[in-house]
Amino acid sequence: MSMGNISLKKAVRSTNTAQSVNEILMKWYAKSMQAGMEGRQVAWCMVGVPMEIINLFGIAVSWPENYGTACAARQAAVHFMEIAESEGYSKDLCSYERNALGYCKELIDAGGIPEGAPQGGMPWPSMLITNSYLCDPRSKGFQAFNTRYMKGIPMYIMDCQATPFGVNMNDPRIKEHYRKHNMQQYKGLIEFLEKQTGKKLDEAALSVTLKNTLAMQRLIHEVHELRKAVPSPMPSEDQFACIVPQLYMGGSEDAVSFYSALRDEVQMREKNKVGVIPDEKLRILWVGIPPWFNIGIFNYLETLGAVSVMETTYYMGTPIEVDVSDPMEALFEISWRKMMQTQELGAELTTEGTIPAALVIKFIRDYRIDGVIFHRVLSCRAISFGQAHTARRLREELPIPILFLESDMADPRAWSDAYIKNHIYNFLETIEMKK
Amino acid sequence: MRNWLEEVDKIYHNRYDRAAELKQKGKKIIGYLCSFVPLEIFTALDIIPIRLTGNPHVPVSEVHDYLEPNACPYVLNCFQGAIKGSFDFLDGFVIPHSCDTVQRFYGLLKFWKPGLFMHFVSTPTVVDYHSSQFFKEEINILTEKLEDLAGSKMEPAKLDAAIRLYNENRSLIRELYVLRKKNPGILSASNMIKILIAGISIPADEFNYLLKQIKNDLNEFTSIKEANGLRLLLYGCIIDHPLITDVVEKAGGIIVVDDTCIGTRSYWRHVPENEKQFDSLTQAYFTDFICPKLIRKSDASRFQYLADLAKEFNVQGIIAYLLNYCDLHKFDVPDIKDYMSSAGCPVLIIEDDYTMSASAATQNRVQAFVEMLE
Repeated sequence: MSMGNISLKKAVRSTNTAQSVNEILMKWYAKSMQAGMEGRQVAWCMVGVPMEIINLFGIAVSWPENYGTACAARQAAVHFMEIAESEGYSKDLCSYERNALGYCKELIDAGGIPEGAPQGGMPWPSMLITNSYLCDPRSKGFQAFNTRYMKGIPMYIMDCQATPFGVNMNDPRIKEHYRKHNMQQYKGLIEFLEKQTGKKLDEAALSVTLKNTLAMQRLIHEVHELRKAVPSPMPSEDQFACIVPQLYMGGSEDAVSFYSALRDEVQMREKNKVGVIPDEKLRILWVGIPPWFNIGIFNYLETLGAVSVMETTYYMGTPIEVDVSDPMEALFEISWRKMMQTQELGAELTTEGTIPAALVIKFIRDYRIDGVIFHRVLSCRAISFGQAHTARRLREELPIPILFLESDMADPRAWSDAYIKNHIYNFLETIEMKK
Repeated sequence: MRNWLEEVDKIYHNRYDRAAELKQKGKKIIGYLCSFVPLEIFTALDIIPIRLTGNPHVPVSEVHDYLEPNACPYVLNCFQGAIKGSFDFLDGFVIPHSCDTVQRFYGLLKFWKPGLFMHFVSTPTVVDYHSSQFFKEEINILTEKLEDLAGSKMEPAKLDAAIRLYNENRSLIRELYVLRKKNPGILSASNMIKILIAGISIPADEFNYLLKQIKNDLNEFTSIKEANGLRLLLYGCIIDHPLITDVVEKAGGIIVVDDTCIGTRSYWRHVPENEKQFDSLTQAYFTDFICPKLIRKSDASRFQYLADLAKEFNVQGIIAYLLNYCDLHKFDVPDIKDYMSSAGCPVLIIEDDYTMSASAATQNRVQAFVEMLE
């Protein structure tokens, strides 16, 4: 596999906890592969599928979305994407999905795991589980896996609906309308898993996992609160590593332990005023998915005295308290309350995981931000779409310098190193002059 | 003779004039996108639904202050129209969740144009009993919102009449397709698109009147010589201008049928006329509706409807005209190509920015495709 652009770099991270993520990932991929080799069930899942439920059925999981980031970080994504493109998948399409589609093709052509596949690869799945939440490619990409490569593999699509901008979520009729449908989606997932595994859901165990999820969210929030400190105790490149337990290990004791350790470490750094760099001159807010093939770009900012102290993508909102004694109701209630949080801030960009412009404005104030970098990801509509709107609102409400970088999350062919670094350099210089 | 062509041309080029005129007379006018919105509800409440279309001749540079360039160029074009005042005659918008970009269109337009009537129809992705029930309740909610706007309650008899009116409308359009199937020379594909665009820009009863004139006239033109050329099917998302059909026809192809949003996908449906009106509307606009967004099954047989359509219209090839960044259509491309090729119907993929700026290159590609198949 091609090493691609040699100027692309992995990040040097500040916290020990973030540095431990790679080991977690390696173990996790190995566990999945081991299950595949032993003929045990493996599900390919997309983020948003509730791990709190999946884990209770004892299934190993592979995440094509995470595999996109893993391949990008190891400069292997272009190899798989080119295979997908030669099949006829447009370069417009989500680069995570293109990476996975190319991987599927090679998995079949090679008759097994492609040689040199990053993290040892993803084993052949015994089931596909995705959702329609947040973006179209989540359902369409999996439909393509199922139609083209994984014919006959059972698939379940969780089709929870999100409330539109401005709807009255306090109207009991509206809540019941969404509750009835979305609860059915959870039930449908459980029925699917029960059928595939022959096991029954343990509801008491589900209550425990949901408790863990809520505890995890509280800890993540604590970390973000600590990150408001000057100098920044934890930069964005660390947070982009630390999303792994949040996105893929929800409901587990391990995830709670991980964030507990992260909170303790960041708290210690904050208390002792240990910054990311010795002389933090500028504080940056990063908006958008990072370029996974070049997380080292955050270190480049640091060489210029700037630290990306906060980011919008993967932000989970403020913690909520929900009674988990009825776990099925709690599953719905957690998602409903998260949507309400977004509606209260302004859900013009949807309630499906995109960060409201009003929250970006709040971050700028709370984190004492000097400049905002928007990373426009060309192959992603769901997260990128709305950045222009947010930037417009920022310009109207705050005197904050803004820089737009255009590239991709997993496709390094969209990255122009000298051009982008030049833009960053000039941007930071301008901010510093005005400061 | 063929006065209707002038009339169609006039409406096509000034497509919102009639709606603006009716607005002056006190009618409520609502703009909508996509084919998920049951138009019968509007008409039964004496509200006129107008489908939003773009203008490929207008650059969309100003829209990038609000929306990113890496999104559906048609939706961007419509959004710019909305922001710049092209739709100021409307009382508001009803937008379904048909794709990520259309979803953002709703939220951002509601934000930047406050005070308008705005309603969003949540539309599930997976088609099954539960999602059909959800969609039915969405029609209920839509009805209540439109009742508030209209200032009157829905009368079942009026909804019955509206269902009959639109069924007649769809039936008349299908008759045009049948006439073109027998002899496409009777009506060019470009004029067919103009008729469809004109129709979605005026009240349904006026469109039916126009369609009857067209049909009667075409029935008299049996002497028109048969068109010679390769019979093609035009596949794609929104095609609301005849730029691509012009290019194909110049290259020697004859588009005899389409599988597009404003074409057969909207008109190949029938709302059952019975007392369960909302069930019937749910069936026609959701459960039975074919759109790449909707997932019923995930094997290649989901494209059999396209093979059937190609066979019915004796098509020898497919031109797939895809707008940039259309995720829903583009994920299906390799499978459609394979499925249709094995059904004896090769596919040519054309990706475009909505303006057909590369029309000469496209014409060359279509010409080569036609020559290869002839």
